[in-house]
Amino acid sequence: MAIPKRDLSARPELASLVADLRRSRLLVGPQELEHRLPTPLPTGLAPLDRLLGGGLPRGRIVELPGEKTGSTALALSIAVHLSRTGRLVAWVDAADAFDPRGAREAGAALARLLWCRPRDLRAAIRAADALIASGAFPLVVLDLRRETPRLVAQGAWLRLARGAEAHRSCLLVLGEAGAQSFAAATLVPSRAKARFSGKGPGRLFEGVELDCRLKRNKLGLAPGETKLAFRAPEHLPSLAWDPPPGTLRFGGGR
Amino acid sequence: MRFGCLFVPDLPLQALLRVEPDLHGRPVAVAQGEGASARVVAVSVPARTQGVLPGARLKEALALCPDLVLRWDDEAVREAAREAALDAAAAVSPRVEEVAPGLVLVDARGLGKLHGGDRGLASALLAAARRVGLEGKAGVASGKRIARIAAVRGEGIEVVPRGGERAFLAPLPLAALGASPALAETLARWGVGTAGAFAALPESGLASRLGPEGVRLWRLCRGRDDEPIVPRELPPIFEEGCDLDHEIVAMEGLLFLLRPALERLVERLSCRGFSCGGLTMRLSLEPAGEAILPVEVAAPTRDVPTLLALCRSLLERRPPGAPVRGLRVRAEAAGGRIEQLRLFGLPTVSPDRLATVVAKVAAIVGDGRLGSPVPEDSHVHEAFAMGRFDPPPPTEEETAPEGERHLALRLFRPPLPAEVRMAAGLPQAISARGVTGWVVSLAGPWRVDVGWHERPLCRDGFDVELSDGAVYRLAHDLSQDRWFLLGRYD
Repeated sequence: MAIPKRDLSARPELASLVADLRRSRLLVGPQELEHRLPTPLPTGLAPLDRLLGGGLPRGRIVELPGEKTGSTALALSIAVHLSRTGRLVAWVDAADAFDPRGAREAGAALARLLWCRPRDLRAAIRAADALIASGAFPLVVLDLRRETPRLVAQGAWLRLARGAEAHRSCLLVLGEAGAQSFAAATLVPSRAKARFSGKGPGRLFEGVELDCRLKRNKLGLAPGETKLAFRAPEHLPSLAWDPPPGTLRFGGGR
Repeated sequence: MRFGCLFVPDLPLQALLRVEPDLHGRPVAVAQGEGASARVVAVSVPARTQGVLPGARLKEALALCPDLVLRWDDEAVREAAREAALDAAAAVSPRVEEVAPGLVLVDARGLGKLHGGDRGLASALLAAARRVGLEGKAGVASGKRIARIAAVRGEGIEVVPRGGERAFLAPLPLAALGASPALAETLARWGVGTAGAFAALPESGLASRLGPEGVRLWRLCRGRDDEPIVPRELPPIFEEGCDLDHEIVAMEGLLFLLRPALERLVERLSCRGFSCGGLTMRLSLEPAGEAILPVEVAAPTRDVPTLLALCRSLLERRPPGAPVRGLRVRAEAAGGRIEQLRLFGLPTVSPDRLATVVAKVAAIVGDGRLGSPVPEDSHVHEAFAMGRFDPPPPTEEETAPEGERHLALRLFRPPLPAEVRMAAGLPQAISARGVTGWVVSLAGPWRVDVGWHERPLCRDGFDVELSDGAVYRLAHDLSQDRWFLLGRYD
C-alpha cells in the first residue's frame, strides 16, 4: 500500500526509517535508479560488444577468471581501445605482470594508462577503491591473478561494487578472487591451440584464438559465446625510436 | 589611488592560537625574555579582563590570573603567522607591501568590481586572514598611511570614502598620524593637538618653522597621501610547525600535530594559488639532532589526507629513532595545471582532481610504483621506466585503433630460473617454479646482444608451447649459461 507523503511527515519514526533506508541505499528514487542502471562502455571488440549488449557495463564489476586462457589479452585490448579513444584507464597490477612494451605495441596510448604496482593485496584493493572513487577512470583493471581467492574479503568486494556503481566505473577483475556474487558478468575465455607457422629456426608463434563465454550474467543478457583472435607480439621489440628522416641508423653522419 | 590594509593585532598571541586553537577563549599570555626580566608581550581578552596587561612580569601575571596559560614566544611560529598574513593579503590583490609584521597593505586599484566595492574588499581581506587562522581588522582608503590608520584604529572594517579623508583624520591625535615626539611637543605648545586643528593652519611658513616632516604631516592631515606602494615579491616558501614542551615518541602523537600543520600549509598555498608539489619534514630530536625527511608528492595537490598519508608512509619506513621535540613542515609550491574543460565531446577530468587521486594512490602503493608505463629505449623487452601520469586531453580526431589484436605477455618479475633438458640443440622439457612440461611447439631462437659498453646482455629467446597448454617466453642467457622463463602469454 502506498503511503501518502503527508502521512510520512506526521509519523517521525516512519520518516526516520525511510531516511535510514535511503542512507543505506536500499530505497532509491526513480532518478537514482536510472542512474544506477548500467550503460555500456564499448570495448572496441565488436563480437564482445554484441555478447555484452553494447559493451562493458559501467558501474559494475566484470570478472575474467581463468589462467593461460587469454583473459589478460582481452583486458589489454579493451584498455587499448579506451585509451586510444581519449579515456583514462587504470591498471592495478597486484600480480606485477604488466608488460609495458607489449601494451605499446598493441597500440595503447600509454600516457592515458595509469599503471599501479601495489606491493600486497590490501594495497591493491585500497588503490582500486581510490581510483574508482575518483570517478576519473571509466575502466579500472584489477589484476589479482597471483593471489588466492579467499584473500579478498567480501566486505571489500561490496565496497568496490558500491564505489563502481556510484562513480560509473567498470571494474574488470582478472583472476578468481572471490568477486562472484558481486560481479554483474563473468566472461570465461577458453583458448584453442596456439598457432605456429614455418619450420626450423625461423618458426614463428602466430597467436591464439579464444572462445569467450558469458557465464554469470546479472544484466539480463542472452547467454552466448564468441570467437576472438589474438596475434602474438613481435619477439624482438621494434626499435623504440626511429631515426629522423635524412639520417642513418648505423654509422654515417647526421 | 585606493589601498586596502590588513592589520593582525597581537601577532605573537594570534600566532600561538593558530598553532593551538584549543586555547581560544581561555586566558593566555605570551612571554618573552629570560629569568627575572621576562615579560608578558601579548594577552588574550579573557586574561586582559582579569587584569593581565602586556609588559607585566610573569609572577604578577600569574598572581592576577591563576588560570593563566603562559607560553613562550616562538619565533618560528610568529614568523609563520607573519607570512600567513602576507599570503592572506596576496589572495586578495597581487600587489602587496608589508609595513610591519602583521600589517600588510594591498593595492586596491581595479578590485572594487571583483569584491563588490571597498567594503567587499575589506571583507575579503578579513575572510582570507580567517582562512589562514588569523583574526584581523581591515581598512580601505585613498592613501597608504590613511588606510593603515583606518585598519589599526577601526573596529573590524573601516572604509574611508573618497574625499572624506580629512574628516576621518580630523579628530585623531597627531601621535596617531606618526608625528615624532619632538614635532608633537612643538605643536602642543602651539595649542594644536589634533589633525583637524593642524590641517586648519595655513601652509605658508610651515616649512621654515617645522621642516619637511611638518609639511608632510600637514599634507597628511589635509587628506593628501600620495606615497606609492612598494610591492614585495613574496617568496614561494611555506613553512609551518611548532616546538613542543614534551617529547613525542609515538607515531600517532606526531601525526596528531602534523595534520593541523599541513592544514595551515595548504590554506596558505591555496591563498597564493599554489598546490603542494613536495614536502620536507624537519624533526628536532631529543637530546640533540635533527631528522630531515623529504616527502615526494606524485602530483601537486591540496588534499590534506593525501599529504598526511604520504608523511605517515615515510615516517613508518624511516622512523626518527629518537623522541621528537619539534616539528617543521616545508611545502614546495607548485602551480596547478589549468585546462579548459569541454562542453561537448568526451568529459574530461580536471587536472586538480586527477593530481589528487594520483597522489592519494601513490600514498597507498608507495614511491615509484605508480605512473604511466614507459618502455625503455632498448632491445630488452622487459626494460621499462615509470613516467609521470599527465594524460593529454582527448582530441576530436582520436578513433579506435584498426588492425589485429595482440596477445598479452604476463611477465615474471624477476624472471623464473628454469632447468631445461635439451635434445638436438633445442629445449625438449622445462622445469621452473610452478611450471613443468614437455615442449610441444617452439619458435626461435632470436638473439639479443646489447649493453656491451656497460651491462652486457646476450641471450637467445624462444616462444615455447608446453604440454600444460600455455605458451611461455623462454630465454637462454649465454653469458651465464642459464635459462629463464621471462613470461607467459595470456
